[in-house]
Amino acid sequence: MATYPRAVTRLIEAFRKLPGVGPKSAQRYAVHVLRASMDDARELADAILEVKTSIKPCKRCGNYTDTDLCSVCADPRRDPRSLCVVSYVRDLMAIERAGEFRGQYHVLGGVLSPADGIGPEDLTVGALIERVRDEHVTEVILATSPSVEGDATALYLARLLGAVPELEVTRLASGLPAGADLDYADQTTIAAALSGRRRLE
Amino acid sequence: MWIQELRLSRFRSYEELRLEFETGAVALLGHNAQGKTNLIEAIGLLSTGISHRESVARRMVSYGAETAGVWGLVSRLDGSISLDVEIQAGRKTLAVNGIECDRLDEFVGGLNAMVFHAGDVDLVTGEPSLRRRHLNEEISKRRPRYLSDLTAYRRCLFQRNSALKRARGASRMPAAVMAFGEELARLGERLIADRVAHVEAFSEPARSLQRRLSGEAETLSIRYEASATPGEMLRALEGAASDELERGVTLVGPHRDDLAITINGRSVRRHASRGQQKTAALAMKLAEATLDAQDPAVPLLDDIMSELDRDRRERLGDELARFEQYFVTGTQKGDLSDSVLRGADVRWVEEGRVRSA
Repeated sequence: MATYPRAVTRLIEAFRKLPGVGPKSAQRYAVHVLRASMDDARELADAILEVKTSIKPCKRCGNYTDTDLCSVCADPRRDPRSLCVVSYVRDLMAIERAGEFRGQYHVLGGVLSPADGIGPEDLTVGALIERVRDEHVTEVILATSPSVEGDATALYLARLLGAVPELEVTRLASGLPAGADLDYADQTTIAAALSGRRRLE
Repeated sequence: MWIQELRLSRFRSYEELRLEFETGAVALLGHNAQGKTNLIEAIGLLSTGISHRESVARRMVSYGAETAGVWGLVSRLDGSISLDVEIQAGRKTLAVNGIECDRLDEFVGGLNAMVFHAGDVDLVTGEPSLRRRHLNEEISKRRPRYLSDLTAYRRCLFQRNSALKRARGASRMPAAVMAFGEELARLGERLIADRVAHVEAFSEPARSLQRRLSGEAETLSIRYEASATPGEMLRALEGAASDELERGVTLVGPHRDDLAITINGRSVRRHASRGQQKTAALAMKLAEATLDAQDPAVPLLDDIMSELDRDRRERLGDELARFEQYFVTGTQKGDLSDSVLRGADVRWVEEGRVRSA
């Protein structure tokens, strides 16, 4: 039985480590690279290496950056007294896309998940407490996902931050998606929206 | 509600079958292993999307066939609907009025039928987990939110137990365990409140049923035994902290709750006769079937009558007459009661065929 030369199987194996990529897709990507121009292949390899050598976590918030401070932390127009706590950088990006939030961020690096051995010491909890204390933060918005783990992580942080005087701690609301029809929403979402309903001002 | 028409195609022992029914009693009679229970199973499948006795869908397909189908036309207070279950390559496709359902909960509820079978007695005599499972199923049918709360609760319990296991032997509860404990209490209290409300709703009708079935001799009491009252679960968890740290598992919550069932003040599990236990299980489920008072469920009694004495059998027939339609099975007319047979639509089931008497 004929097999690919070793260099090709090495590439296939590398692609297989990517999330959501199975053996078939990995093989397709590898063959695509084989057939691509030398310039395109070099661009891909360079991009991978560059991201690994130049990108690091922001010293302050944990966002990705190629300098000491990320673009949000370095922006003087962003209010440092309002802090939005997220689990991952991708959540930060999602909130940035909405363009509403004018404060700064803190990236935890995950959620509490004892089943996977992830406790508070594996997240940037200590750094968060220091920032709240040292940077005169007045509001913390807990923006972890509304899952069991996300909710427990938010509760944990809320209890921890409850000791800080004159600090307002809030949790992102969960409910109906904007612009969608009510009858398309699932029951859990509708139940959450009902229990979180508010008075029309 | 009632079933107007039932069609089976390559389902179990049935090649092609089309049955029409009227309201009232439908008696399915026949020797053992002729296909009576298969009919009950098919109707149950239209009700819950799940077989009450088979977890592998493929096994419901006739030997040698590729696809099996069950189709039913149900007359409800708010109009007629058709329900469709197709089993192909071990996968089930569900449809309501010809429109395919993406999720099980879109299908469930069209036909509310309740299967009664000999194993039901375990509900009152068996392990507490059986009673919790029964409550979970019954409440999920009526409140879809309950099912998502239950799923989240189990996830949270798993996380908290993992954290407890790590903290085993520690002197104080770590903060992470406490965070999952708060979440567990929030979800757990919602489950407990739903269960208490459900049990309160059916315990009074169940008590009347047992009284009538027993000829006014037995008083049945069913009470939900909660490990924590609403608003108190977090405190109960705190109270159990040292035990939990020693054993490494969560000791408080709806996953440990039970039903307290007594007849004339004595535990059904320990002190009742077999006949009383069977009656209690029957009364409990029949009471649940009447909960939707506007449009009660369709009881499906599979070989239940033959297990009761003559008097209870007669009285059960009187109770069943309150339902718009119900199904009973037996090996012969003598298995059923006069109260059922009076005006019943009797069908004989033989080797995968059904004929009118």
